[in-house]
Amino acid sequence: MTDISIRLAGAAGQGLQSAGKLLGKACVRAGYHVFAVQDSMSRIRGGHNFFQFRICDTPVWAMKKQVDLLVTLDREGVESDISELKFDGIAILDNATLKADIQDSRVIDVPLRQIAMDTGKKPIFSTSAAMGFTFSVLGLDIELLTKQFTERFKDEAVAKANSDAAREGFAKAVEHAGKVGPLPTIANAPKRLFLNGNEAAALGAISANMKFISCYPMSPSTGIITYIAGKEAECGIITEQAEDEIAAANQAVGASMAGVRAMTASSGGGMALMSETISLCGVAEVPLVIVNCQRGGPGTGLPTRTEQSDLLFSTFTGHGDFPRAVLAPTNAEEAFYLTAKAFNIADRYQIPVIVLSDQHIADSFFTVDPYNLDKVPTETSVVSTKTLEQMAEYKRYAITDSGISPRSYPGQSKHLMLTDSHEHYETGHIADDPVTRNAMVEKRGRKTAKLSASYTVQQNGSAEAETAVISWGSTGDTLKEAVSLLKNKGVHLNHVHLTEVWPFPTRQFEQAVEKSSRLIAVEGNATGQLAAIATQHTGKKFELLPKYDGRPFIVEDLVDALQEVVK
Amino acid sequence: MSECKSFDICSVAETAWCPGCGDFGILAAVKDALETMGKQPHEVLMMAGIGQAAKLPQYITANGYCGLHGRALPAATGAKLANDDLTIILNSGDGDSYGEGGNHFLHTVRRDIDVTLIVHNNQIYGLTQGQASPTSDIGLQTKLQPRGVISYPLKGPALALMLGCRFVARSFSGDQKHLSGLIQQAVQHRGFSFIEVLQPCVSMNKVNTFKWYKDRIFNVNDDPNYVTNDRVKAIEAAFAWGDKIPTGLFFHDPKGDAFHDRIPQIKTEPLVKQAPISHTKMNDLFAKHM
Repeated sequence: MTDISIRLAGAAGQGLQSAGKLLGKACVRAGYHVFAVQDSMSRIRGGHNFFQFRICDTPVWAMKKQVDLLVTLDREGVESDISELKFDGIAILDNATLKADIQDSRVIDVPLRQIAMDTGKKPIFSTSAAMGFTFSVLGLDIELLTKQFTERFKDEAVAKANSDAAREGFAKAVEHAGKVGPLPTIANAPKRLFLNGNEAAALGAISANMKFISCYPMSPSTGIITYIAGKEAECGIITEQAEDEIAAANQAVGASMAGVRAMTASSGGGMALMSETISLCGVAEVPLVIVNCQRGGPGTGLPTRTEQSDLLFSTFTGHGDFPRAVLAPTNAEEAFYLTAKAFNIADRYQIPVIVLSDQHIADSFFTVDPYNLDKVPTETSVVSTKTLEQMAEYKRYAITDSGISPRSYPGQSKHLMLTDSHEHYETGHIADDPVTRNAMVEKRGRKTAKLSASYTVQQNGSAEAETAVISWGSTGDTLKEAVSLLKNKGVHLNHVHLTEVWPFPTRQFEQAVEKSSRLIAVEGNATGQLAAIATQHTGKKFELLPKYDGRPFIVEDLVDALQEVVK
Repeated sequence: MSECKSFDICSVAETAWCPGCGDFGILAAVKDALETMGKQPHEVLMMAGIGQAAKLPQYITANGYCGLHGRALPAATGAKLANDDLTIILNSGDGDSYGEGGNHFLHTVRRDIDVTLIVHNNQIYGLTQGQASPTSDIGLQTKLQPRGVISYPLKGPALALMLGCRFVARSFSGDQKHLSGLIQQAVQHRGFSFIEVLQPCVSMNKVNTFKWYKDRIFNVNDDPNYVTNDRVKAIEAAFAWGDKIPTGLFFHDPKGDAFHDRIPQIKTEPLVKQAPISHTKMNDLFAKHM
């Protein structure tokens, strides 16, 4: 079984991100499953960053602590990252350039800068030389790297210079070839996608026929609109950079009201500015999808780090009583499907839907099977133009048993629609009498029960186990692997995982924990926010296993912590 | 009630406006302009924030949107980009447009979104019972400003002109004919068009009354030497305030394209009419990640 971990370390601006994507994609093309996390500081240049990979021949969704191979392009990588290197691991670095003067038998000193100067005449090609050397150590086909240079660079000279540096690096590694892994190309391996959570969410939105996105830049959410902006012409989408998050949300509301699927994306602080707009969508029944890529809060918090601390905020933000949905994908596979589903829920139920991603999902790269486009067929509450034209009378907010009124858009037919944030009559005109008020609050409220009944709760491990561990969103896969490893050690746990979090699926959750008397919430926040919601709905009490240092959970840490707790 | 025209609401006679409110004159002018232009109610989307002026979409037969205080312009931006076939007119007050929504005003002008903004400027907050607005004159006493306003009033038309707005005008709610004419020109203008309408608040502003405005306003276009293509002269007119208050079409540059004209994706069809994304296209996008 192949299961190796690699860390690429360096300063921002050294091309680490590009190099990492090339390595990851090469391994996926060779038939392996790759999971990769990025760790960076909030600055444009300098600062120490790393890109860590776990490469397996079976699906992999979580990160391990210790690495088999460290490739470092800066001094800090030598000083700090080497502590994560296994005792029998290998570190690749250019001693002369880094002036590291390191005495460690695990280190292979490679004159990367010299190779770069000999081939491309510029130090910048050191990174490609390092990649070439690394490919050899991993026993990877060098063509998987050089082919990507050709695909990536329009300028042939640039592609060639990178390829030359890589080939020279590869050649220099001949005596170390295949020492880690190795990773020979697997014959007839199926094609898979290698992408990060933001790209997956963006693709999910595009596949759901989203036509308008407006955002104000905020880490770590910006990748979503940036990705879509690069595809807008070919996909028939309008992307707009708004003057602030309030404008972003209201532009999306305007577009949605006018008949197209629309969204915005931000992080916690930006979504805080959208609170009033979320409430507007509640009363005016305008569909809106908001992706909140959580980062460490509160306030400015940890801008480039991860946390799961906006769950209570997402479920309760916005004044007044109104239904909304909160979905929390576990990984890039679910980021695609759940974002697409978010548009269906928003459209069908005419409510705001918050997709709670986080920095860990947004910036990490995942290997996923090609998405099935038939899995999330479009569901809408917009009345067809033909039906609308045949209606003698049209009321935008007609009171129905389901609470869902027939939606149209301005100009769709001769029937007029008035969208209103005041309490209103069925026609949309301002109302303030108690009878209408009660009828409208109850109409909107009726949507909740049906929605929460449609949710599923994921369950892994042993449903009969005395102890249940509860997770939501990005913690799920790491906990799932920890639960599986603990099972091998004879520790049986009932793992209950939520991705469809609000309205809380009380019945499904109660069924999943029915046999477990002890409940432990494993969450990336300090206070146990899912536990608070579950207690509110079920009366059950939870122990907490929290993490709030801005870093994602690591498999080994969770195994140790859970073993300690349940022994 | 007299003859009921297509933009009138014939069944509902009552509004939330005070008898004598300037909003009535503005509503009448909007309806007259749309009737005169031959628009159909379903082709028109009347948008507003929140406030007394912003209730206008409630009192006209057309599509309507009453969103959030200060946030009508971004909603209009989204609506226009989703469906540029719609004629979009916004009516909101001075507090809504210049106060709460000030940032959106700057950036909507800058984008040159093809909508018409009519700001009902009565120099006071009416619905919240008479506090100073961004356009209140220095010295105006209110319950919240008992010693009088000490901030300088914002001049909306001057601000719009300095931001590069290509259609800037001012009118008076007591002159429906003039206002209707301006609205027609504004709607025909391809790009962001902005009309500030001076309007007495009969209940909350006892200083800037109907007579107060009537005694001061004059139409710059009555002067045969006034040209509407000189931005600097227009800014001068837009800043003038005191014994003489200019109204009229301050500036109009019909050349240039609107924001949506610069977006190739909607050159042939509005977004709302475009076909869903194809599986072939999605598979192309997936292939880039393989």
